[in-house]
Amino acid sequence: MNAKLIPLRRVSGEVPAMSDEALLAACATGDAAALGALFDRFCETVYRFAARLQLTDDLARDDLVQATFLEVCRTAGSYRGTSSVKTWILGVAANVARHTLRGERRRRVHQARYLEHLTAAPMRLDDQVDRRLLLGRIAHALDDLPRDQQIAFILCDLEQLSGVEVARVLAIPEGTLWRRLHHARRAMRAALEEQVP
Amino acid sequence: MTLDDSALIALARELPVELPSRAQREEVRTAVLATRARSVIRGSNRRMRVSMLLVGTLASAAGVALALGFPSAPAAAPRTTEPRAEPHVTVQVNVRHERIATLPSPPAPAPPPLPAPPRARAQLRRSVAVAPPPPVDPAPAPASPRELITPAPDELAYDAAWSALRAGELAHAAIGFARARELAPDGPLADDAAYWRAVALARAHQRDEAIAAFRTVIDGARSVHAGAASAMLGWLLLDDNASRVEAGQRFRAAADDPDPEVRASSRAGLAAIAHGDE
Repeated sequence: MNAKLIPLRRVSGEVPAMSDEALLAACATGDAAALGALFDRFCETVYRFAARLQLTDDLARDDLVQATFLEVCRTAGSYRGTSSVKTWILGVAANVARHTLRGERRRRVHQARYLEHLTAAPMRLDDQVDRRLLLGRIAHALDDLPRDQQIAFILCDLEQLSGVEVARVLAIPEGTLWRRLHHARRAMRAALEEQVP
Repeated sequence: MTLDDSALIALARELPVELPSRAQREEVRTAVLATRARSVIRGSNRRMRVSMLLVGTLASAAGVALALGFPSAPAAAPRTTEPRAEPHVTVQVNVRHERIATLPSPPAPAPPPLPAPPRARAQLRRSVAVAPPPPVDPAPAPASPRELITPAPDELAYDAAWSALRAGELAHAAIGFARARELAPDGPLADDAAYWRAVALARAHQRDEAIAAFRTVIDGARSVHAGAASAMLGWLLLDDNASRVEAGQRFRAAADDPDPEVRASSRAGLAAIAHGDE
């Protein structure tokens, strides 16, 4: 009775041995096992991206990750190999984030909590305190960025993905990406300089 | 304070990144796979329900046979009235290649309990688990993926009928399955709905209606339930001595069904006929 109830096919070959591209190709054919393997490989990357976006709460973060992988599955057939699979998936996550996470007010609320979390450590009279406060200001500055600049900064500078590939997966001209990145960096520097006497 | 780009980036990379627990990750993973599989799995889910209820229904049929003094199928139900260890039916869903339900098989001839519908498992992570993926560029997406799902009318009717069947509201269930089939006669649920309507009618002891309903399933184009329906029809026909010949034909038609439960029931039916002929 068990066998006929199993609706999900296994990808041919050993999943651990399959390349990211092969998994994505299998995913494009509707292979749920391949989607599971992709999730296992890249969920931490997407979670990290979601965490850096400073989402409202765990629920929003989980929603973003879930929606990202569903979208990955839906659009896997459009992958053309012009970027790494990791970059492509993060591009999908960025697009999902842009569309689904527009609650700027929610960001403000979360930002306060996030900063509180960053500075909640017991006060110690050493450099760690200053460093913690500095990180808090950076988090504040990053969160204050417009979403597009924030995504550009996270993908290019924090995830250190290729700018060419990021521009491709975000479907924007490369120059636009660099401009966003430039503005993001400048805005963050300015924010830090403003806050430090 | 002045920072160059590299110092800024290095600092920003130190920002704490809170990653989910393994349990949270697994929950999301399961939800992704369940959602993705939903369109593929829909028919299979129904078949799982079919298989689970078939076990129970065949057990009921076997109970009828038992009441008539016929030996019942060894795999479909307890064979004797003596107390015995309750066998278990294991249902496995491969969403995460793990066993998700172990259900006791029902005693005959009482109506068997129905298994939990697989969708309940698929929805283990709130409604977003059943939401289709939101569209990406260029069309703007809804505010949240959990707002996206709108079940089709036939699916709503089907699920309501299924709930009624689970609750033992057999007449409502039969009507609901008929409604689901009417709403989408060529839809993916039509075959399942026809079969379950027949099952509901049979369990409601509406024998003639059930026989007609099972005939409809069997006559349907390549119904996945043809074997099960044939076996069940055989048991219903066996109630009537005048229909024993056709009952034998129905049992023989189900003898090669891929489902071992159906085959066992079919063998038991044929044995019952042979026993009655002696």
